[in-house]
Amino acid sequence: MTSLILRTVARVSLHLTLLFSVFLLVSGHNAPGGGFIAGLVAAAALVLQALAFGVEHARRMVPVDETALAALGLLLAAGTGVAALVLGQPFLTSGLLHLDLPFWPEVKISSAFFFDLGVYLVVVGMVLQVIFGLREA
Amino acid sequence: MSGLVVYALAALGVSAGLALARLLLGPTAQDRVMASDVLVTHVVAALAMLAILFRDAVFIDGVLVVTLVGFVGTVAYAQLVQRG
Repeated sequence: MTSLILRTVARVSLHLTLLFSVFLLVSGHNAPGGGFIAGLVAAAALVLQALAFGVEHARRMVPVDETALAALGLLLAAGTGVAALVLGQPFLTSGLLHLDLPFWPEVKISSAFFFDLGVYLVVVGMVLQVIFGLREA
Repeated sequence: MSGLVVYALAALGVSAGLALARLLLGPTAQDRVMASDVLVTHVVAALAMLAILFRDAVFIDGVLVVTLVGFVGTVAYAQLVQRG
């Protein structure tokens, strides 16, 4: 049904696109990017697989159910906010953790990153659910 | 240097206008799909020009996003047209 050119391009571009989505997710703290855009790019990579190889093949690439993925992301994003409440701060207060690892530059982990990761998972799960559902309809 | 980039952006604007006319007028669905793909290419070119004009590498991220996502959109349109 699909052409050889499309299948070859889809196979090559999958890893590049997913890597770029991780870059967008991580760089989103100080530059354009962030969880939403990164999630859309990752979903676009998987949608291209669905277009080239069929929805069943793309579903096998994501070992988790899309609804569970979105729910996990929502839990993570909400958990970041609740964690601040537990520590006696206002909801969604962000914290910054400095790690000094040996033989490694200083690592800064902000709690906003985990919120962004939750948004990423929600967007990937939702978009895949919608597109796969439309393709199968 | 930046004057040249402004001229290039103006030429892109004219060209994008022509592609938009094809998108609106296009007698067949294939014409419209091609026109929308051409418009996506124009956005990529315009973002590259803006990256040169403002000396800001952030626009290159935008170029990558539009290239990847626009490609998926064109493939989806093409399959839709193929099915009839």
